[in-house]
Amino acid sequence: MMELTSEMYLFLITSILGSAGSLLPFLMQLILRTVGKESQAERLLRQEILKLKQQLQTISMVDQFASYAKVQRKINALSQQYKDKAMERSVGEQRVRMVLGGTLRTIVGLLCVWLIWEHRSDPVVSLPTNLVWPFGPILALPSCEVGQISVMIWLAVVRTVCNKVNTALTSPRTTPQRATPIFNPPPVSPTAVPVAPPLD
Amino acid sequence: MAEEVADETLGDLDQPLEPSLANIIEQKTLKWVFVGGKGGVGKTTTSCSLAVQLAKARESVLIISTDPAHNISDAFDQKFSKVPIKVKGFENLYAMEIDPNIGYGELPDEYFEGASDAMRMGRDILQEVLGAFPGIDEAMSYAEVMKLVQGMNFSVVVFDTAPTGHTLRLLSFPQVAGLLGMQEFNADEVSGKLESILPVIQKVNEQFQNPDQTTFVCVCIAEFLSLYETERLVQELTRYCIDTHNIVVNQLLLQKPGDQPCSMCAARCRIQAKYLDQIADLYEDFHVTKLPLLEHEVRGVNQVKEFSENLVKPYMG
Repeated sequence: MMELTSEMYLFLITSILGSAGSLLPFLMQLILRTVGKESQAERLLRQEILKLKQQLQTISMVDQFASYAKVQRKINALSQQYKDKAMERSVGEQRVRMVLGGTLRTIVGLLCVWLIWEHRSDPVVSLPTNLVWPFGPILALPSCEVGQISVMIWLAVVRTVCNKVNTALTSPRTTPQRATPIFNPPPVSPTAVPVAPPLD
Repeated sequence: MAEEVADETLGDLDQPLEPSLANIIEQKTLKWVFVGGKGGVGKTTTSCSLAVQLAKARESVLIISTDPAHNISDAFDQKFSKVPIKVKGFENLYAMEIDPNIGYGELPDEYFEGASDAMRMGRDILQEVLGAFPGIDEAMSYAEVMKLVQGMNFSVVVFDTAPTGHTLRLLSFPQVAGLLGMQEFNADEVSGKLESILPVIQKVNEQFQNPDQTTFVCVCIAEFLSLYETERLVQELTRYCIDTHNIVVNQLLLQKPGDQPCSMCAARCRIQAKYLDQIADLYEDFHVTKLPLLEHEVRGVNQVKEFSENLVKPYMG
């Protein structure tokens, strides 16, 4: 197996750190999706509500209003419970998202700063001087020789590219990934109002 | 919402609750009693009767109507206005009629003692802005009324024509305080006035959601649509945590024993009986008071007084 030169090693590390900023949201979604799924209790509630709604179809509102209303009351109570549970979960999820996101971002940020400082004079890639003209001095910031591309510059390039790719990929979609509760809106009506009564 | 059964013996758990409004008279901590129900079911008759009965057992009673049709003026055969006036024939019963649609901008000037011109102008601006929010007009009127009424220290206040859904929503959300707090106007006095209402609204919220202080009486008739609306009202009240444990079924045809009813009355009695059964089934943890349909209208102080006895003693024909 080919031995990694220190340059290639640096190149890899820098590329990974640069793209980490954009990969982070996806990573978090994955984690949250497995950890924050609809719990057993919620699923049971939803099933119970659906069952009751089916039962409601069989009761005639006009002739058996009392039974109809009792079932409707149960549905309302369960729906409220479900909403409360889902809200709890989404709040918890938001909290996790913030904490996790903040921590990861801080770590990545600190690593970048350390990397740039430690290897301020080490190149990521060495190119012949005539290829980098006239940007040579800029590409070599802060302390590389002209013709080399420094860690800082490469990091900036990778981050910019990743951001652009990210926006290009996410803008056409109506993002469900934004900070909204993850639960799929189930067929549960939140209001307590029965539909208009049939006219005899 | 359900009547607490802690004070009844275990053997009474299967029995229906007492079919009268005596529980309201007996609950001395009540300060606000709302009487509501849709569509000409007899709210005013019930609320006036309840006020009459309460006046017997309390130091002072105020009945407020928000119905633009001025029904309590009709019931007591006396002209009432936007400030409390003593009802003729009573020592401690007062009545007041406000029009919630008039809104904040047109409350009588006595509400704005010492107001400057800037404030009156601010009031008009406020009227315009608030017109954009559904129900806030009513909420503001109620807030002003509450403020006025709290200053007068009535033992209990009976509201005829309960707030509409909008106002219920606004009154039960503390956020309305925040909403009103966001308004900034030229005149400092106007926002000062608003700020003075905010604590009232918040205090009122708390009181409305306290079952010891506030309760709601739902009036209905024994017909399908009324029952449907009553259930809807009860659910909405529960949603806003306003206590309700009394239902009044009005306009009932009660056959005197030995009478030969005509086919129409017999048929109507059957229909009413069917819905009365459903009411009894659905509202087993409520007090269900039955009121009769009489051969005469209930108008005038004497007839109201007489009719009010049916609230505490079941009608026997």
